[in-house]
Amino acid sequence: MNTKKSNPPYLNGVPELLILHLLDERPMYGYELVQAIRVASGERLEFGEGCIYPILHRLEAQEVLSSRREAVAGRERVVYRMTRRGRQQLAVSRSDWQRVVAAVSACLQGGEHARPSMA
Amino acid sequence: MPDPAWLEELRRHLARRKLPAAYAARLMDELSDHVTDFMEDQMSTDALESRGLVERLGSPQEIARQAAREFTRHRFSGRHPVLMFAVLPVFVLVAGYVASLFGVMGLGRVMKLVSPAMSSDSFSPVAAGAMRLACMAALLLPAVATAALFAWLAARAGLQRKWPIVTGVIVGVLAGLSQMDIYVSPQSGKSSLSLGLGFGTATAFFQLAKFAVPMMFALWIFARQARQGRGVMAS
Repeated sequence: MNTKKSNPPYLNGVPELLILHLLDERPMYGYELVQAIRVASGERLEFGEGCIYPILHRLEAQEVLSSRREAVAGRERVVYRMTRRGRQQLAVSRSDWQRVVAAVSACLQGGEHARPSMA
Repeated sequence: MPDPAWLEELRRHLARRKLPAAYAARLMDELSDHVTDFMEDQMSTDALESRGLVERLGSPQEIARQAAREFTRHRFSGRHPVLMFAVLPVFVLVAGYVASLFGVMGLGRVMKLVSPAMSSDSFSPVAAGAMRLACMAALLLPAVATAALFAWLAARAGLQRKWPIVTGVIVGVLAGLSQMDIYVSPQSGKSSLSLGLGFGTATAFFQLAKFAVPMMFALWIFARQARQGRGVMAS
């Protein structure tokens, strides 16, 4: 059986950030969320789709998300939505991400401290 | 129609990870829905996806691994196993001993055992035997209960077997070395009870039992809980 390559280690926390960002826009069920990630990332980010559910369950256990069984498009589905705590976490995660991106970009572009100076 | 072979393989991998039945069942339900949605999408579009279902979803092994990791990650016991299974049991055991000491004390009062010592000749043989048994139970039961409780928590959190073993060893050693002494006085405020650590050859057999029984209970509870989880998932 083929195996899908798992996410690179440096993408740790990225699925959570994308999930929170997209669910902040509107409630979605798992498959819908996966499609939304694909579209939003221009199909550049490759996640094992099945791995999204354990993350959703953990976020729900942390009360960052809530879920409810609802009839959508003629079928019963588990629909996830943001909680107030989720919005707070999203704000923190966004800020952290922007800080990391800025720092890594600065390093890659040969910033002030990119080369350690010899004493 | 979801791919039964893929789902069955996932079920087997989840069972191997010893995740709680309800958690695994919910994951299976949602993945089954996901597969159905994927198939419906494929049928509704003219051009079939070049990538297959398995490639899109990930391998059952990878999903089960991720599920186990995420499940333990949000639990306190998963994030701090040393604190949970090596440190906390000591405090729980001590609290259990204090409670059992008071229990023995209460029993002594109920039985009107007011002589200076348990081994005193002034006790009736039955009363002295009952008190001795009560003291042994007061040393053994908190240890068994503590080991069983933490084994149950470890199994429920889907953790490895080593954690209930760690708890069993710590609790067993402390219980094995624990000694209890009781003095029940007829005068108010004169009664005393004491608990300490020590090893005496005279009571070596009981000390060995105090070490082994909590460990056996811990392993039994852990195995039973894990087996129950697998049984429900397989049904």
